[in-house]
Amino acid sequence: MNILPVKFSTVIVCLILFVTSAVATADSDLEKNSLIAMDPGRNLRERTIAIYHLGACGDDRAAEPLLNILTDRTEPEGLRSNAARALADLGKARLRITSAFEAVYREKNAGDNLRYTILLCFGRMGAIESFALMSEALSDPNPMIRFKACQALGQLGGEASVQLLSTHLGHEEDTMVRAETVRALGSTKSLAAEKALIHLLISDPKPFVRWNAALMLKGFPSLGPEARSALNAALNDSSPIVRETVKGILR
Amino acid sequence: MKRLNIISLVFPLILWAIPCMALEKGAMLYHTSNNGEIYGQTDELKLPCSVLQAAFGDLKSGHAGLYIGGLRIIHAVLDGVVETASANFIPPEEVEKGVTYLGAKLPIDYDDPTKWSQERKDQIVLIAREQVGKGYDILFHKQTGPDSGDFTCVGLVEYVYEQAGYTVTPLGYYQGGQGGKSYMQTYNCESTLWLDWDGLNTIAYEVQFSMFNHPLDFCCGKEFEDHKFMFFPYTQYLQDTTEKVETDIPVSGGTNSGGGDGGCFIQTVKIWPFGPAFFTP
Repeated sequence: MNILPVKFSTVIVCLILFVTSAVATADSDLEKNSLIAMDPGRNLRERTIAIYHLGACGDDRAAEPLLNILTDRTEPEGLRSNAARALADLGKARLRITSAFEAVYREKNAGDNLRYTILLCFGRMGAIESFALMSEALSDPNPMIRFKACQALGQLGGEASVQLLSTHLGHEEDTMVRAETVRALGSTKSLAAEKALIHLLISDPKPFVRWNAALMLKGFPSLGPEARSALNAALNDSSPIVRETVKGILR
Repeated sequence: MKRLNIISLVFPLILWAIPCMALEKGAMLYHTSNNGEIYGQTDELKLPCSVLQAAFGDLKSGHAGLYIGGLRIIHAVLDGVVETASANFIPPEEVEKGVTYLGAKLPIDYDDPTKWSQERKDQIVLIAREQVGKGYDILFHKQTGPDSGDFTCVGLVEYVYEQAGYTVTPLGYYQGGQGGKSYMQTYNCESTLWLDWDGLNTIAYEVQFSMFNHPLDFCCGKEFEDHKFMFFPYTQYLQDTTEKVETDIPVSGGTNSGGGDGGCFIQTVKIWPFGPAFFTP
């Protein structure tokens, strides 16, 4: 009869030991990964892996070392990009992260790939608080920045993004960026986007843009009568690839 | 004045030469790892045993990237998916280590405008650009996308073509026998506590994924039917869905764009906090 309480207390002690050691291991992992990630004497592979684990650990405290790496201009561009992605994965300390992203994006000599990564991270995080920056990026002289800004706005979604993307199409001249704007609009699957896509399918001078409009309309769960009539009209498009795609949708 | 004349002569020549470079956008570029070696080319399908060897770039995976025109490439490297100058495909320090260019390949029907319209070729570039900024597949769990952290170099190339409606390498998991080759490797290093550890490594000729056994493979590789698989660049390079084309753009001599150590695959084994892991089969 006296054995049961002894067994019970042993189980409790074991449980406490297990939980304590698990916490200690997690703490020690966090500490070690932070040290490795921030150590410029280590090779880039080791540091990248440590950054990845920090982003995946889900612990608020991982934000600090990652923000240090991201905002340190002396760190290699690729490592800073990895820190940005890890911060987006972590998702904690959100406002600090988005303001750090904005500051890095605006750095005078920030590398192009780092800026592309940050724009993509805004989209992944659904960073509505950075809408102004994404909107500003649509006027960047570098077409690839405009491309990534459109992509991010498409991921962000919402009425404001659709409105902004539709307006942007009015003055965007780069065909590749126009096509990405179309894809970004289509990815929102909104009624306003559907209307914009219909207009582009019928009237855009570039077959590449019209084709992407058709491809995006194909992804809509259901299409209104206006869209169906536009698709019927596009059966006579001058581009064979547009005609082929439209035929596939109407089949 | 003389210098100005020379510049005014040379500059238009350079401008004229760039558009004349004929490698088409969408070309898949390949290079070996150090000393001209690439996993799958010889009968010995050896993987590095120790984490230290792997850390020093002995994976011999080779590398793949995508030419997007205008002397630019997009490839997945340690830094993530990046767009860079084609001359950065093989950085100078890799040339010094014996990394060699294997060549460029395009789909066999790429010059048929009824199959590959200009729009479809442009779509390759567009899809590739959409991936720029995403992360590398550190644990090789997916390798072929589609999200951030899901791409290896060769997986990125495959994904982009797949999205444009073209299968370069059919999806499949090779576990030995016909359609590839196998090699029994005896690992013996700190990862196995200096005991012999036998593992079967393979290279697939006809499908994407090759099975491999490694003392540390519990962490990495794509899992299928209780085995671990990798998509090796050489498998994609071998496919007869593509054919070799002349490369008339610079593919080396630039700067390092984040790949490093002559290969697509990066050492990703977690060696802390318990030190190198080991187990017996």
